[in-house]
Amino acid sequence: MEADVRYEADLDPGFLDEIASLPEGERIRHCIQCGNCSGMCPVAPMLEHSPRRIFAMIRAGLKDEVLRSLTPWVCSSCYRCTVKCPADIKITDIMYALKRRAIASGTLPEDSDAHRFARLFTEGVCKNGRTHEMGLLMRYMAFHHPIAMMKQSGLGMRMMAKGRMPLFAHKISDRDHFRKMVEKALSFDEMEPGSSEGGAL
Amino acid sequence: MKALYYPGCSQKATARGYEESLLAICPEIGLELEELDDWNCCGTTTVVAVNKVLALSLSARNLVLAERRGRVLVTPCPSCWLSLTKAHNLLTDPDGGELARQVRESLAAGGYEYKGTVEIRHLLELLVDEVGPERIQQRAGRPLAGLKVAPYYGCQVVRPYAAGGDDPDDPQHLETLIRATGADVADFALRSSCCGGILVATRPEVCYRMSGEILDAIRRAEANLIVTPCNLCQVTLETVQRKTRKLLGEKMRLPILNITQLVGMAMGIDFDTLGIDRCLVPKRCLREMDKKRAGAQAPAA
Repeated sequence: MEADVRYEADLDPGFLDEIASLPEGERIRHCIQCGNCSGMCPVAPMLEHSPRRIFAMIRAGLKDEVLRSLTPWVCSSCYRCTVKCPADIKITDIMYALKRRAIASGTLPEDSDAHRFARLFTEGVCKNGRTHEMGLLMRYMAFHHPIAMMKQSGLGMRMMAKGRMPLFAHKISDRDHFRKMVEKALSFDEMEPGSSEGGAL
Repeated sequence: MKALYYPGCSQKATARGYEESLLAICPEIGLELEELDDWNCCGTTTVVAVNKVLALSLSARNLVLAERRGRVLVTPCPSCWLSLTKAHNLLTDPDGGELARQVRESLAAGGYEYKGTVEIRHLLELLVDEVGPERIQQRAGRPLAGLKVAPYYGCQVVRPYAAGGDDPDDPQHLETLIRATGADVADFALRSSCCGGILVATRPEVCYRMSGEILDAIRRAEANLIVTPCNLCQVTLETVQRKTRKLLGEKMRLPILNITQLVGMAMGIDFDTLGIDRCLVPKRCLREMDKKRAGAQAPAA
């Protein structure tokens, strides 16, 4: 069996501090590696790195591997880990923080484009003020998942026939003030200065 | 009771029947709703993966609009309820810190300010705690006796905060509501397991497995229909149910209703008005469900 060797030079010892400095990360140092989160997690059996392991990896400074991990992107936001964590760590919220860091630094998992979905969703909301489910799904799937889109076309047609998939997006009226709020919000960058894409969308 | 109504985006599209049935039962239960003017998307679990200040500001703008019109804001969508609640909690927390300051500044850039006076309530909890099961029972002209209903909570109405102080480990609001309609509760273990709805586009195989397990448990409980307070769970379970022959080796075709559709059905309001006809199961399955209750009622009448 080949040994899985890590070298100290590959580690980022500041990664734990980076996460711990976020409002949702303040309790992360209290993790006792009990594994409650992994035991409760409905997607853990389908993951390479369970949530417990992600926390061990953050502590070890395996920044690149954590950010490239599928775990945050397959987290289904069920909050089971959060409510059962004996150390009161906001695990689900930390998963969101890891996604933001992965997107902002371009350190993304190879076999997922869920980050593209998140961006398209956000772009749509910034533009119209509301989500347009059909437009979002079309943009997400059309070029990148054409086969899946064909497979889902029956469902889509049925939803349309039932009046549940409006063709056009609804736009809010006061887009002027809304846009100013959005622009300001996007100007705040929780990443360290100099990170590649900052708060841009 | 008067309240402001925050529909959420899906209420106007995939969950249209949820809105239609809500508006149909309102006069019956003495609930006067005013839709929040020019509301925007709450950001749900997705915008926060891109920018947290933006996600919170989106929710907070709705609170600002609500604050100008009244006090109680009700939403039928668990994810909207959680997003709005998180923004409210941050902006009313004296220790909100840098994050709260950034959200306030973003709001101010759009000319908005949130004082923190809005009371955010989820519709399920409002129906049970405010309207009350007695009133629903009184108005149930065509009670659902004979039907066995599977109460499916999903996640965000019970976690991380349980709406209306329900017990997150053993929630009872849905059961109370089902009993008020005269139906029986189908007991199954996965009541608040996650359907994987947010993964339906990006990781469908994971979502199918999660929803498949829930549907399997509901089938074993011999339910006639499923009821859920969650817009996304409703459409996800419907989507995955279409694949049950492959997933579970047996085709399932249960009507999957929103809470207000169930209540409206007990009140004798027709399926079209309640948007029940928008369900993805064949009409035949809806008729069968209806017959079961009528059949059970006949001897008693």
